[in-house]
Amino acid sequence: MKKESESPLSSTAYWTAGVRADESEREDRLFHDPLAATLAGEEGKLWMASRTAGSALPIVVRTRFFDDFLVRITRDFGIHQVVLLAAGLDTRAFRLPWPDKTCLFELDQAAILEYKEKILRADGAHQACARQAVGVDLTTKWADELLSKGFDGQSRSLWLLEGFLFYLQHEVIRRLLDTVTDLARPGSWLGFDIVNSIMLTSPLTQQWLEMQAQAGAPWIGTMDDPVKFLGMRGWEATLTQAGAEDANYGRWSYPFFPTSKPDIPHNWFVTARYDPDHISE
Amino acid sequence: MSRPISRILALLLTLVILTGCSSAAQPDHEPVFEPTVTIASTTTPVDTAVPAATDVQADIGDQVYDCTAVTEIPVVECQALVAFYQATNGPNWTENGDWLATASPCSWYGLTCVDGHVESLAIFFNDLQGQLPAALADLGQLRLLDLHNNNIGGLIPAEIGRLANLEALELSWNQLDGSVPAELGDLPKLQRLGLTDNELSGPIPAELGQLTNLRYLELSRNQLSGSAPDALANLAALEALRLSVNQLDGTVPFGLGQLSALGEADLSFNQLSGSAPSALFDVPLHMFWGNQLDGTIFGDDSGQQDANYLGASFSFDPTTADSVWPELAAAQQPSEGPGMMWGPPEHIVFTLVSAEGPRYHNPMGLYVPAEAQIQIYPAAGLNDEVQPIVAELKQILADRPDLMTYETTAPELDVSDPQLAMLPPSNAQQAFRSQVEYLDFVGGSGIRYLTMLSQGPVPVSNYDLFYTFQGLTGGGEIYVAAYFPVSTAELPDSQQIDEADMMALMEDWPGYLAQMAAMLNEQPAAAFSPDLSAVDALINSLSVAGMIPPAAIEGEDVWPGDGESVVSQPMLKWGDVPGAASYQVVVLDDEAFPPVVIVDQSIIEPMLVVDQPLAPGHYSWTVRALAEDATVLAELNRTFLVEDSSS
Repeated sequence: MKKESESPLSSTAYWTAGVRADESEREDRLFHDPLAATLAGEEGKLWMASRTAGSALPIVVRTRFFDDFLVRITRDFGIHQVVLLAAGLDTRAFRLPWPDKTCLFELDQAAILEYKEKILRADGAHQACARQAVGVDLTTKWADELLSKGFDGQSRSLWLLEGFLFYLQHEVIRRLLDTVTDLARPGSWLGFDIVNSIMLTSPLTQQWLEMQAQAGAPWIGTMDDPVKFLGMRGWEATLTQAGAEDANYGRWSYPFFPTSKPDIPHNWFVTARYDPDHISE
Repeated sequence: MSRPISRILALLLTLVILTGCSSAAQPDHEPVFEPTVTIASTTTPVDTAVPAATDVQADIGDQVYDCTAVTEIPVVECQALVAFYQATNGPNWTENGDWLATASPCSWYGLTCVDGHVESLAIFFNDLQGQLPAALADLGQLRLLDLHNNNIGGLIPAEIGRLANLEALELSWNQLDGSVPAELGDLPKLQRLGLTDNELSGPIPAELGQLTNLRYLELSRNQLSGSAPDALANLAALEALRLSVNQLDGTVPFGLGQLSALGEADLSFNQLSGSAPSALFDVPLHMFWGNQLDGTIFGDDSGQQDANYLGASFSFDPTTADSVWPELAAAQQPSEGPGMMWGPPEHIVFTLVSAEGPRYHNPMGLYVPAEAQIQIYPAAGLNDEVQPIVAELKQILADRPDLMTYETTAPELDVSDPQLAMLPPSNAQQAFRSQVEYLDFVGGSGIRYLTMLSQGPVPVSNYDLFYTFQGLTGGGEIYVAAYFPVSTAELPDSQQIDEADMMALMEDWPGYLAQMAAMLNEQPAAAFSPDLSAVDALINSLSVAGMIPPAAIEGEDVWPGDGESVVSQPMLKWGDVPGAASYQVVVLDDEAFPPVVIVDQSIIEPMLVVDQPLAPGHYSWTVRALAEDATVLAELNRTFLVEDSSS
């Protein structure tokens, strides 16, 4: 059961767990998450039931994209510290093939992390890497808490903010990414997904946005030029989106429009490498 | 905010109303009593006939005052006054007429009595120095203690909390330090607490929340820290809350939004974060900028930053702003405003906050804050009395006369002929115009110039100088009014001037103004702060296109109707839009999370067959009729439903 102390935002954690649970049952699944069904609970199940078939495809593709990203970066660049911001009910610590010595930090509201912990313990789930849950409010200051839990600011790190930033005010996004930048050593990596502002302002999306707001998780955060935003902070970023060659997996059933096409809503997957010597203006 | 004079006038008015006594009046009658005071100096030896000081006599340096000889008020109150005089360097007050010079304290400068007690002590702009004595607490019937604009330092005595009858405590513009005593919360009748512009630090005591009669709480311009206590939400009578320019952090107490009497909430220039309670936006005068509140658009040290809000946008850099606070200002009923009926329609206001913090500047007098602002109005919504200003600007922008005629750089050029009016209206006149130029923004143009507003002869100074831009979109839909306080090394910072110098200027006032305007006209853009070319660049980048709704594509030709069920490969149709060179059609799958664009096509004919079967569910679609130059002529926004044919 959901705890009263949780903010409505936690609902989205149950929803995405529901998506992963459903996907895990498909023959042509893009990932397997045996823990998701239990974690999703009633709320996740009900949410999935309320949606039409295939409507969660963007989340499925996103999950797989960032699965691959995390595995590739830890393996190819020998990064041992992974930080999942707004981890929610994420189970990657249990289901991805992490290199040895990987330590994964999961940051989110304490309530949802405690809920997850209880379910996982009851399930006897087996971790695939060292894992540290850190209960924090990510909209305020949280760096000290992460450091106190063993995060090593002297080593490179890999950061993921998945399905999170569109729930935040621009200033909070800025603060959050500035904190990540402060904690990241050169050579660190970062991944997140973000929508452009047309997604929130186009008359096309107004009905959908209203629905989201009524569900208690209004979309407010956007970024129109993530490459520039990150570039000014020393991150060299690239953009892609579901349906592109590197985020398709043969499952994307919608037409694909170029990531840079103006005037239409985009939901970008952003990956970036921290290289502060090449800060772009 | 930087309007000490007007603030003081308002303050004085309120104090008179509060106390019913004219605290500013000086005693105008003759002393009725030979003083028992002896003034000693190197030239005036002490009169040895004066009795030795006892416990009812006060020793004021070389002065001794005998309170036992006073019958108007109790001895203890007399002693409190003497202690006050002594502690605040009375002999060196600018005006200390009658103090300790008569046995009628009720006639001393700045004092009034009622029923044998001191009722008010109001001495301001009088160079009081030193500290406030705890003995003030002995003025048990005191209703007004007003010592603003002096040089009083030290702590606020906690004992003031014993003045149970106090209705107004006004100690603004001094050098008081230490904390705000929690004991001030023990003043049940207090209606005004003014501690503006001191050196007070520490938190705002939650005990102030007990002051249920408090109407004005003024703590601006101190070094107060910590969060604003939630208990302030108990101040049910509060009309003005001024906490600006402190170091308050944390969130804005939610309950402040519930204070129904509140007419002004100034929380600007603190370190507040989170979101301001939405009800506070309904307070007629509210100022939230200069914080870290949600909604603030922060600049980027490394370059240009875009401010984008409700269809209006511009680009700024550290030269023009450190952060921008955007707001949708509510419509106001037209009422007798500055000079004319004024009641703006709902409009957008961007307040630009400088890295240097709050400005001491008075660009537009009482009606506009000192910070730079860009105000964006729907022109048609401006009230009738203001419409001639819009029409005049429209005419000028159409005719493009030589703007030299608007520059008042020679004595014979009068600012009122030809006129160059601006919004919002003011009851003050433009003293001169300089650096008058046409300037474009995206989709419109206007005129920018330097000026200052005055109601009489006031020397030209950086305190009043500002840059304004008044512009209109090409179709006249949107009126843009922008103000930037500017300064230059060529002008004094203050409007203060010696009387003799002022008299000299007055001999040829039009000549003086023309000379100043001509001097400003000759300055390069970079001689001003901010650099005028940076301000121009900001205006150049301004776009309000998103505020102009395109016409709707309507009519019976549109199919499917809103929300209508269609087959899985529907044909979408709409009526021809005159002048349209093409139509951009976008269809969105509303079921997907997040929504996914499934059609984005540009076509010539007013119809489109979706070229792939659509899964059952809700879809949104838009059509934009585009002119040859890609301007949006008209727009259509609808939804349709593909039903599940298998069910």
